Amino acid sequence: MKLFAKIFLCGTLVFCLSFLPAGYFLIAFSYENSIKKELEYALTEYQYDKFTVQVRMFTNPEDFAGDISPGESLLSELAAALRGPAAFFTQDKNLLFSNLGEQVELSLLDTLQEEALTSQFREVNGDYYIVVCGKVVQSGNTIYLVTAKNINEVVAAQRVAIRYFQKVYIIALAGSMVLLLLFSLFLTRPIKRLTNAAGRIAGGNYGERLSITGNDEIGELAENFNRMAATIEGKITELSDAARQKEAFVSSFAHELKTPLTSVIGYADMMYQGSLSAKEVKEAAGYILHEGLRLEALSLKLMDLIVLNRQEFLMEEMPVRELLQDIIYGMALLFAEKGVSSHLEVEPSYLKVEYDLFKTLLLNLIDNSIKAGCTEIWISGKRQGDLYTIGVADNGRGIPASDIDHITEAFYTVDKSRSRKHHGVGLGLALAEKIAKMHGSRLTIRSEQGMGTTVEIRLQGVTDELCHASMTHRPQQEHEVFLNCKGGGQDA
Amino acid sequence: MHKRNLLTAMGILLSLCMAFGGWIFTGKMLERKEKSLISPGGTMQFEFLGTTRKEIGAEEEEEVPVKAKDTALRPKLTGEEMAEVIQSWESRNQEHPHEPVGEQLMMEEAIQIGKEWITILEEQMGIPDHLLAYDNINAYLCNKNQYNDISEDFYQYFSYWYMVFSGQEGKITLKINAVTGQVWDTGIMPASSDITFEETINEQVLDAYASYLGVTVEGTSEKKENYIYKGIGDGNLSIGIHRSMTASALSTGVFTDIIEFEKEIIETEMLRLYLTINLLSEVIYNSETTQVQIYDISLIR
Repeated sequence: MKLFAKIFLCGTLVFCLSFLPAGYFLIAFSYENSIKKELEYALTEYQYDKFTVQVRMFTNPEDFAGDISPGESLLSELAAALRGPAAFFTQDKNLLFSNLGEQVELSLLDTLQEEALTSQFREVNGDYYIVVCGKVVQSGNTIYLVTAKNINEVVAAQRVAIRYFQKVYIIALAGSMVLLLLFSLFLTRPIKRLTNAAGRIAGGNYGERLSITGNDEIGELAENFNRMAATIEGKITELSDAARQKEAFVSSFAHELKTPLTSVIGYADMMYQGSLSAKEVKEAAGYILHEGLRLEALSLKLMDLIVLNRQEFLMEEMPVRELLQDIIYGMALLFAEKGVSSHLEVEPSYLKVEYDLFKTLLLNLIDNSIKAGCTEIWISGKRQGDLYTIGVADNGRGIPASDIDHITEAFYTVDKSRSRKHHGVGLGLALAEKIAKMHGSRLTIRSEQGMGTTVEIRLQGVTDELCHASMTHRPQQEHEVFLNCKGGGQDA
Repeated sequence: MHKRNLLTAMGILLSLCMAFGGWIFTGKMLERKEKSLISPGGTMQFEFLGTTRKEIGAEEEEEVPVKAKDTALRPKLTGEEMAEVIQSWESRNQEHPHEPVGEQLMMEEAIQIGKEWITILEEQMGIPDHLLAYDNINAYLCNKNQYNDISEDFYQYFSYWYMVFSGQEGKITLKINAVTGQVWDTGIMPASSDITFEETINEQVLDAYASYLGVTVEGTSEKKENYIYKGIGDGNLSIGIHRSMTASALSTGVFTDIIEFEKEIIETEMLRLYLTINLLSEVIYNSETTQVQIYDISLIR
């Protein structure tokens, strides 16, 4: 059942349950009171009439003596002096006179008790009366007096009241039904709008929002609906982006896999055919080896990415200086081999990082710098308020501006041929970006072609030591560390 | 969808059924209520309240006439109590007729007192005897008191016998205190306009009334053309004689229009001799307009 119909039904029920009983009790109470009042009036009038009869019996006792019945003219005159129609009976309950218009039931006289009155309601030809009966004793004489009071007015007034109540009820009912219908449609209109909006969102229009305002429950519902729609839109966008990225990743991966395999299969086939000279065989084997190593590097990097997606990592606080020094020492041979000078300038602090992953990140950055043909690498650590920025800068060939935005995408390389030469598969910076995200940060890359590249990562840091270490590394020489401390020195 | 629309239609139909069904049901209930209230079958018994003097030792056949002068033997009230009773009589409350209870006069006693008072009016007050002739008597006992915080013994003093002695020449109305038996209000309304009561408005008549009531008058009387008053007792009450114009119709006829009714109106003087509380007498002292009272008029609209 529709909500407006439910509201309509409930409203009608409430209206009927309150209006009808109230009307009934009001009319019944009023009628009861009116009848009681009429009864009181009837008794009062009887009392007046009784006095009138009593006075007559006192002043003319002979007219009412036991054996003599009063004449009809006397009784008629007496009845005319009374306030309403009356009947007189002898002590033996014989009718003397009556202008009541109807035979009085003798049972009324039989039920009469001493010093008491009897009353009864009677309907005669559509007229209603209160009949009062009593014994009148005066000067040794006794007669029964029966009076009747017409209560047609009260009964008619009651029936008019009932008819009026019914008219009022019908009008009020019609009016309330119309109002109920309007109110229920008005109240359910926002819900209808909500339903339509939900339908449009389900149909794909994720930007749909409701403009319902108000502090009531509907307003709250609309607000929450909009919030939900925004969240859904965000999630859908995220999922779409992720799906696109996955598609792109798989596509790139398939391409990256296909290229070396094509060459490997080609050279292997040639070797299998036995159509190559010894020199050509060695060249082919060398190429197969080279591509195989590249595929190995690819699979290792992919493994790293997959592991990063699935594992939870424990962050530890560690001194920045030690972390970076460790990396520099590890790369010393490579630096020497490639003729690269490294510079380390670190402000003391503690960082919360996952050691292996963060080391991987920095190694990837340094590796890229070396592959970019740099001769010098500057590794820095600076504190700026609550943030600590670690930077890896080089003076390599740089990255073209058009490639900077894509450089962290998986399998993206600026120069594919040069990358293949170094067994590069385009996953290093993707991995580094992922590691940075895990640490609540991201890579900031600035580069100028021909001048060099700077990659920074900002992390939350806690200051510990008051000194900083500056270390210059010269190729093919012993490592020397010069430590300048402002207070409390420490040997490396 | 179809099922939902069907349920909606059923819901609306159910609402209408409830509304009209309730209407019919309430009508039936009211009819039933009416039948229960005014059902012809069954009777109601109403007992007389209080204990009549007849039940206290007096036999039914015995008459106990009480002469007016013997009212001196009946219970008396203080000035304050008389004022309280008079205030009740002067109020606009409805009269409640009832049977005599306790010390209250029986009807025959009250009529006897009334008759003797009429004799006093003629002999001591100077009212012309032909005005006091009557051939019809009517009387009833009633009270106007609505108070609930009065003792049962004092409550019976608030009742009065209202008596009308009517004849060819005029009508005399009396209010007799139901316990003390004193006449505290007398109205004399002649049938014709030939009678004047100027001579009756004098201090001697007032003194005679005070003597009858058994009270002492204080101070000087306040006399105007139409009234005279004297303070009595401790100052709460006055006795007075008041003359005003009365418009009356001799017959209790049925009139079809106001013009016919006005033709039957006769303006006559009315004399009133009564006990009153001082507040009312002050109002009358300051008023010089006449009062118009209408008796025995029936008008069919």
